[in-house]
Amino acid sequence: MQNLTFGRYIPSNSPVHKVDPRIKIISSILLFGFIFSAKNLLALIFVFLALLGVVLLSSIKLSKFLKSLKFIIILAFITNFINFIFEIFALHKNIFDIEYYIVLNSCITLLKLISLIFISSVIMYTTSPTGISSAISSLLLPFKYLGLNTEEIAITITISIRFLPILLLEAKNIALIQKSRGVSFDGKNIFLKAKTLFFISVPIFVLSLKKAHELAAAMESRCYNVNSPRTKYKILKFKQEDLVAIIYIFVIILGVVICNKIKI
Amino acid sequence: MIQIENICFKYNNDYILKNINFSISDGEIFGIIGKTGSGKSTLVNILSGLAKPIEGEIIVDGQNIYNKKENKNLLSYKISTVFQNPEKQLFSKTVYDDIAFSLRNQNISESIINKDIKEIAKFLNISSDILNASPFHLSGGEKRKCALACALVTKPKILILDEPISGLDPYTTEKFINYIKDYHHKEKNIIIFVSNSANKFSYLCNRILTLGSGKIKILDKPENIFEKCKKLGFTAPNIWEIISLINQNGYNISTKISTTKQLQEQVLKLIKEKEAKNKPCKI
Repeated sequence: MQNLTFGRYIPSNSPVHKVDPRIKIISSILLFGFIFSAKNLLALIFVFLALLGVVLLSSIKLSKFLKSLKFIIILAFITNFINFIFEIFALHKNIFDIEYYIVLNSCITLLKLISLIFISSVIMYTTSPTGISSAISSLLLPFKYLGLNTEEIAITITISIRFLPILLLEAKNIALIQKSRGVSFDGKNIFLKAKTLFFISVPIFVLSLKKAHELAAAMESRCYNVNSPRTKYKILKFKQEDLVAIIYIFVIILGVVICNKIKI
Repeated sequence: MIQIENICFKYNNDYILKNINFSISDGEIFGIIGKTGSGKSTLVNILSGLAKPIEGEIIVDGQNIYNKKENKNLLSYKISTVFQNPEKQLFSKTVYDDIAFSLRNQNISESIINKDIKEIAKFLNISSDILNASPFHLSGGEKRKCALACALVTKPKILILDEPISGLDPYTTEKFINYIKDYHHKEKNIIIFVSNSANKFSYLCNRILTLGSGKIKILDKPENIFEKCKKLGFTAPNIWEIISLINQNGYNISTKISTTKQLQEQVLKLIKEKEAKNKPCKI
């Protein structure tokens, strides 16, 4: 758990950091849709390579980036493996009589999952919490006329994202404490491992409620009122980097569409 | 006896600890003082066997704690750690279950667990009401006491206290120190106390080690450390500062005084002596 940095903003002056958060969010939603619509491995490899390019442009070390996602990628592998096993059972196949397309489908699902993790991580690493907050409130603006409290939704989402790395760090500390009390996290028995998670999850749950309460008190003491009109320190404006980002996303989407039409 | 031999620890290619060498004798109370980021908590994790150094050995009673066969045994029976904000560790339905947790992990029978918990509850003045209460309903001081009970119930040979009195009020601090003092008097075990300043706890120590940038700066007796506190960038205990200010005016109050009551007695004694000297002789 030592390298868990998922959800943490890494400040930098890279071109990816400079892109308008609204464009990042919209393009990620678009990419999610096109990744799910990808029909063959070629399209997904193309998306994956394009995303690797974004990571390299973001000035985050690739090794550090992959290391921080190790846990989630392993989880994606396990989920996909379970899916693979169930698919074999559903088709009444023998484990030694697997057809090529089952393996291919499994690889496609895995690449889709990893690409989704890549996109969300790049956004989290390169966008500050305030950037995400103002982007969400700006994107939700049309819903304001339908009576929706967009500011409240934006601040809730931002706080949730912001607190993720803090809680992961706390989980690491609690795991150390419980280890010193004789809990073994190194065992191979999956049921015992699930049981040991209880010793971390309960204190984390209590801690997160306490932190939420403290944060609410701190915000109230600074007279925070979600309904009052507020000015912004950084006003989001369309820049040159945004245009380049839009073109890049458009190329990826076009690439996926073309690759989908190629029959392998 | 603990021997720390040439310990080095790296994080992200930076040395957190470099060439740490010292030993702690049986029955000694040992202090580790260092500023934030000096490597104290890493040293605590290494001493508890929770982090493995890249170089060096920790030998407890002739056994290396990183020897896989010995490790689990040593951790469960010999070394107990009370971490910073230990109240975070509590999770059970009742305080009793939380205290019993580490004993149950050692597969000790329930009758012995019950006996040990009653013994430790009596020692730390934990009432049966508190034992049956949820740990989440306790006050900060009570939670700290409960966490201390969790550590002491295993009767550790080595007790590590990482910032044990941070966030406690003066009254609870005094009580906490007294518990530790009594426990040490009873068990004669090794107590390692870690803090970011020389505070009240430092008076209990036989020796204090100061850490800076991952290296040992000084290892000496508390009174010698207090003298160098300003140079090292730490604050000395308030009582020691008052005594040194009085002594600068030509008085000779013992620097081993650690409580306000002892200081009051000494100052009153000095006043009486001065009054007796200045009294005109009656004819």
